[in-house]
Order: sequence, then C-alpha cells, then structure tokens
Amino acid sequence: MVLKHNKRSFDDDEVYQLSHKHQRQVDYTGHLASFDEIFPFGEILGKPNISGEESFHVSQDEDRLVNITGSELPLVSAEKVFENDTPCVGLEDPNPNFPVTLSSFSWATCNTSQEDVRLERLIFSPDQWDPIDSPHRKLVPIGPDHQAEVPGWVPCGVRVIDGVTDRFLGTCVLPISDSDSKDWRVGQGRTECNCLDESSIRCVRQHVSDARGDMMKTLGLERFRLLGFLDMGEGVSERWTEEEERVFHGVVFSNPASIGKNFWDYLVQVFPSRSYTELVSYYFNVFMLRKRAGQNRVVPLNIDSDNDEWQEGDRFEFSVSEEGEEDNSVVESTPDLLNDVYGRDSDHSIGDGGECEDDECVVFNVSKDEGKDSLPDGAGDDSCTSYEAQHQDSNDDDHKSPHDEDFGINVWDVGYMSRPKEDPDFLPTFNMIEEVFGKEALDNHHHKGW
Amino acid sequence: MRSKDRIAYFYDGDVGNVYFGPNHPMKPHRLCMTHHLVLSYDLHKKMEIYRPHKAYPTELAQFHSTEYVEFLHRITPNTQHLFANEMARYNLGEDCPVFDNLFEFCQIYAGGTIDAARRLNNQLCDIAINWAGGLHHAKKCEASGFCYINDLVLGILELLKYHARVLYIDIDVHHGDGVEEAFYFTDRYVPFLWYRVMTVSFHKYGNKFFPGTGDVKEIGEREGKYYAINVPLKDGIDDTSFTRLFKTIIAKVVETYSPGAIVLQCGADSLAGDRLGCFNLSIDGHAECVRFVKKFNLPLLVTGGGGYTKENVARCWTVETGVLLDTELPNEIPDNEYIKYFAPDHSLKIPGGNLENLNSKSYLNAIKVQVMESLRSIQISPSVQMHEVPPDFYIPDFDEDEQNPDGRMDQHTLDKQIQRDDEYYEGDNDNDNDYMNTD
Repeated sequence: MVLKHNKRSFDDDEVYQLSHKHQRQVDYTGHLASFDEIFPFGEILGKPNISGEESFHVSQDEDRLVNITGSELPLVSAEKVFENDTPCVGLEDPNPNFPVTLSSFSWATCNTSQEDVRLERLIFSPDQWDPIDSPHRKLVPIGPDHQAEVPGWVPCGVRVIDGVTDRFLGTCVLPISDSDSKDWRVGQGRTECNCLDESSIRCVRQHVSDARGDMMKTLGLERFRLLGFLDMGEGVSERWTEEEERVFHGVVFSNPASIGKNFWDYLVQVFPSRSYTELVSYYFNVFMLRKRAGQNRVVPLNIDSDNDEWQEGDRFEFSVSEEGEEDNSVVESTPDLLNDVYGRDSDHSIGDGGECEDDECVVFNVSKDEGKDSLPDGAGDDSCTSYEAQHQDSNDDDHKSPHDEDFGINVWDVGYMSRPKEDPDFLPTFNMIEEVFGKEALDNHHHKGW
Repeated sequence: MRSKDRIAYFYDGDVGNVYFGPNHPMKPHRLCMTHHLVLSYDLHKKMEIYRPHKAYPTELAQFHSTEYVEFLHRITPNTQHLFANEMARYNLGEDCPVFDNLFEFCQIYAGGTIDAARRLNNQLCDIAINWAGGLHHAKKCEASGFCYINDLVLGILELLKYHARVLYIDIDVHHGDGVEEAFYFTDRYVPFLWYRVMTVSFHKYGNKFFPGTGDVKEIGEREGKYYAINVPLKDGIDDTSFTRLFKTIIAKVVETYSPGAIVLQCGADSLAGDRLGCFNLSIDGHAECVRFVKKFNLPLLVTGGGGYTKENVARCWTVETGVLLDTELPNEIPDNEYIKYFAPDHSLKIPGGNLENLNSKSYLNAIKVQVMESLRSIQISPSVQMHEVPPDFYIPDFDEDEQNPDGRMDQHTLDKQIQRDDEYYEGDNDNDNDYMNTD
C-alpha cells in the first residue's frame, strides 16, 4: 500500500489511510461472521431486556453493538435515543456535511433502514441532536475479545508477590549518584564557533566530534557504550567499508519508491551478511544524516526529513502544469514546499534524477563473499559507476542540474560520497577511544563487540 | 511539591533500529533521537537509566489473546503471505505491517512500560518514563494504528496490583481507543461501586479522523459507565484553549476519582506541524500538561505515543523529560550526533502552525459542561462515599535484592492471609490456630 504523505488537508476524504482499517474489516468475512447475525433494527424495538441473570438493558442509552459477556446471544443493535438528562450541547458550528451512513465505520454495519430510522429520530428531535457527532459515532465494541480482565481489588494486608516477574524491573544502566548531581548543570548549546568555515559540513562534524569526545571522557567508555552512544550518529559508518557505503548509496538512489521500487529489498540481497538491524542503523545514522546535511543547505526553510524519497535533485522535480507532465510522487508529498521555495514559474521541468531507464536501474549484486565478479557489466571496479553514470546522464539532459552552477561544489557528493575518515578533523570513534582511554581500552572494546 | 522526585528512565537501543517500511510515517528512530537529545542535555545525570527486560509472551497475554500474541511472535515478512486469513483477522499488513524484529520491538516497548509500572509499585521511583511506549491503539485481539501490543493496558494492569484506582490520561491527537476499550465495560461485581480504571482522552474527533471513536458521549458501560471521559476537539486547537480545558478537566477528575497512580500518554502528534496531526500546540503547551499532572505528586508513568515529525518528537519529549526533572532546558540545542535534524535554528522551539482554530469557545465550553456532568455522576455513589474507600495500600521499603523465593502465592495461601488480617481478637484469646485449622 502506498501511504500518502500529505496529511494536512483533512477537509476532504484525503485523510491518511489510517482509516483504512475499517475498510479492511468489511472484506474479512471470517471476522465479521457475527455481524451476519445482527437482527434487523425493527425486531429488537420494544425488547429492552435480554435474558440472562446479568441482563444488559438495551434500550434507552446508546446505539451500540453489544456482545453480552458469556451469553449465547448474537450481537444486537439498540435503538439510539439520547438520554433526557444529558445536557443538550448547543453548538455554533454545525457540520452540515456529516455522512448519512456509517459505511466508513464497519462496526456499525446497520442496514440502510436503520440509518434512516435513526436519522429520522434525530431530525424530529432537533434539540437533542448533536450535529457534530451523532450519526458519525463509531461504537466501542465490548465483549470477552475486547475488554481486559480487571482484577478485583484486594484491600490492605496482602500483596501478591510474583517472585518470578518481580525480578524484571529493568537493568540499571546508569544509577543516580550524588556526586553527579552536585555539580550538575544542564547541557548548553554551542555558544561560539571559531571555525573559519562556520556552519560547513566540516565545521558541524568537528563540533559533534568534540561533543562526543567530551561525553566519552565524562561517562567512561563502558557507560558510553551502555547508553547506546556507539550506535548513534555517523560513527556507525566506521563499521562499514568504503565500498559498502558506496554500494549502499547506489542501491538507494537506483531504486526509489517513486518508480515503485523498494530499495530495502535490494539492500537485503546486496548485503546478505548484514542484518536488517545493521542496514536500518546505517540508513538512519549515516545515510539520512548526510541527506539531511544536504537538505539543510538546499532547502533550509522547508526541510522534510521524514520524506524518505527526497533526493537533492528533487528540487527540480516538480510539476509545471503548463508542461502537462505527470507529478513525480515525491512532488506529491511536498507540493507546498516546492511551490513556496521555487514557485511554478521555474523553467525547470521534471527532471529524472529520481528516475532512470530500466537498463540503468542496476541491482548491485555485490557481497563481501562474491567480490567484483558479480558486478553488472560496465560497472567496473567502482561499484557506483552506473549510479554516477546515471547522474551524469541527467546532467546532460536538457533540464540540466544546476548543482555545479549554483553551488560550485556538489553538496550531494560532499555530504554522501566523501569519506569522513580522510578528514583530519574528524576522529573516528575507534581513534577517539584509543586517544582518551589508551590502547588497552580499545582492545577491550573490540573484545566486547558492538 | 516533593523536594526531589526520583525518576526512572527506560531505554533500549534496539528499539531505534526498527523500520516499519518505506514511507511509513512511524519511525522508531525518533526514539533514538530523543534519547540522544536527552543525553546531550546531560539529563542522564539527574535520573536513573534502565534497560527494560523484553516482555515475555505470557506477560503480553495478561491483556492480549494468546492466539494473537503467538501469531505476532511467529509471523515474519517472509511468511506473511502464507497466512492471509490470520493477517486480516489481526489487522496486520497495512497500517500495521509485519517487519523484521517486529516481536522484539513489541517486547522492548512493552517491557519498558511494565518495568516502569513495577518500579513505581515498589516505590523505587516517583516517576517512570518510557518514551518507546504509549502505543494506545492496539486491541486485545488485533493490531491497529501502528500499534501491536498495548503496553499502556499492560502497565495499568500491573499498577492495579498495588493501587486501587488508576487514572489514564492521553494527549495524543488520536483517541486512546485501545486503552479505553480495554476498560470500557465490565459486568463483574465491583466492590464499593467504584471502578478501578478511569480513562481520559483529549483528541481530534470528526471528519473521519482515525480511529473514529472518542465522542463526548462515549462514557463507558455498566460498571464502567462514567469512567471513560472523552474530549473531542477540532482542528487547530492552540495552547491556551487546550491547556485551560486540560487543567480544568484533569483537576476535577483527580479530585473526584482520587487515583492512586497516573499513566500519562504524551503522543507528540498533537504538536503543530505533525505529519498526521492537526492541532496547533507548541512544545510549551504540550509540556504544560505534563507539568500539571506531575504537580499531583502521584506515582506517575509517562509514555510516548504518536509523533510523526521525528525531530519535533525528539524536541518535545526531551523538554518533557526536563519538565519531569524540574529542569528548564536552554533553547539552543547542544552539539550531538543528530544536530543536523534540528537545523537551521538548532532550537527546541518549533514553528507555530498555520491551521485555523476551529474550536470556538462555546464549543469547548459545551464539551467541558458535558464532561463535568459525567464526573458528577461518579460522585453520586448510592451507598458508599469516596472517603470510605480504603486508602491506597502502603508498602514498606522494598529491598531490591530480596526476592521472594516461593514464587507466586496461590489463591489458597492468599485467602488465608486475608483471613489472618481480618481476624478479630477477643482479649487474649488468640484464635489463630483454630481458625487456620478449619481450612
């Protein structure tokens, strides 16, 4: 299912497909078998009491589908009448567009005649009619398949101590210590930056690295690890080789969802020795962060890092209505962004930075075991060649990417393809551990594994 | 206010590397970002950090059906195509996709809430936080709205072992239907004619907004009647309107119901700018609700929930961690691994929303009136006044190292203990032995 991104327009039926739940329920006949047993509305009128010791008074209260706990009675529906003692809600904002039927709410699978009766009653009782909610009301199902078993309250004197489960109170990772709290001061944002290239990617990396080092010194390596720091941030890339990183990026770029591809399927195939967790970790801690670095510098005012499909070239991939071209699915997700930033007057028509011809969408069948022999033809030693070739092709098209012209450097490349390990100001965590704690600590760290 | 609240904070790094799938709005990586932001503000120095145990299937089955739990345990992305019927029965596959490590993900976030409840029960902390929890849509026998296991219900059931009454408050933009449904109805005899769980949810309602329940007239059934409170709101509600309504209602709820513990679901999709939400709350407004609940000085279990603009989620829950620690955080975000997500301002503030506030004063007032009316019904207990209800049970200091080696007490032993406590002594006549021998 393609999940829509544009969630802000709730005026029409373009609500995010959370509401899909009840559409699905209608299709599942097994689950709804009991609904077939619902008596027609008219049959239960005037039958307020259902037999049984603990009969449930079905009449005056609320319209609902009730499954009597422990009884053999099928689901019944009740006549809906507002309680007379319920204060009438005088509303100034009547919604005249409420749906007549509850067809979008599968629980109330009343037939049309029931709806008409209910609506009729409401119309004739305008002083009790709540136009906002009454016909919409989805009912809360009740029965043994829905409610929790609430234990009886045992008053003072007894506590049932479960010796087994009471042991599970969580494993302490960081206890509170008085010495910590004495001199404690809440963390402050960076107040000064003396970098000549302030706010550049290098500058940001430097300060992040410094912060990481300070934290490691303060906590000690063990707590640093236990708190999860080793699994957060671009340092995760240290567990990946350069080639793996290139391949990863290539797979993602070559298989965008905009053309119906799911790069995750290919990632799993391309990296059979990597667990799914590792792939996800790299994606969010390295890939997305670098993408975010690009976004911050391309569209700083309208960043949408939750748009999995955003690529730096997408700034030009918006539909220009006069061109009559179809919207890119990426565009659909951020129309306001693109319109606000670039407007519809741009000369750039839809680029295909996110698309590629079939013969260019390669799957990188590279794994640590297979080596280079499995590379697609023409890929050469550099497994990202075909990606770069594709990128180059798009540059050669009529709608040329203005990256080089506008920025001088390809921000995308700096953010994604350059190796932070080569940057002398960026200390990988390995080196940092060694520098702060000494070689022995580094060896112990390796031994424990990540 | 207590001079120093002990805060227990639960986190497991594995929860952040779970992926619902491309373009799915729920991104557990937001939990990693939140955690990191909390640490970058040095808040870890003011609270105890715990890694939760992974909840066992039997623990999950304290609420959920065993068949559903078992299915969740066994199903994988590679085998789901073989179980089309079950997938449909349990509402899996679309909003609630089957992804790698799904069950472990459930075990972690549920384990966090259960552990949090246990630490509260044993008075090992005053406030317990599990931002990974709060998945309030999950039902007894099915998944719903990105939620598979309802950790909140499990946490409440845990709290009910030690507290007579538990109050649940939900400020997610979506109705807390899973929790409400779990406690909506009971036909069992309830001593003293009060009900053990009260659920209060503030949410968007109308225009087919998910999940479709949560009307103000939804007040519970039978013994649960009047113990479900719903505050349906329209698009664009702002800080002033929301916090005023929240404080008025919650104050009255606590005064009327007198809970022994509170569970607060802090879904961040009620913030302005959320991908799925439609409110206009700022982080300060959202956090004001947390601050207000904390002031009651009751054992408090705080969870996350919705939130689909992940950097705002991280900001919100970090600010609220600070609130729970009575610490105001500087706006300027410290350098941290995820600093890029907070560009360009690197600030804890989020931009205000542009939605028009469709909640008129008269509408909000009408809702408030109806809610207060419901609460008055609770006060009219026919035979027992609230002050006669036994106070929340006091337990002595719990020694963490001292475990009960005997395991769970069986019902027989339990009954004997009750009888012992209720024994009546006449002078020096000690009837213990005779009493026990009659069993």
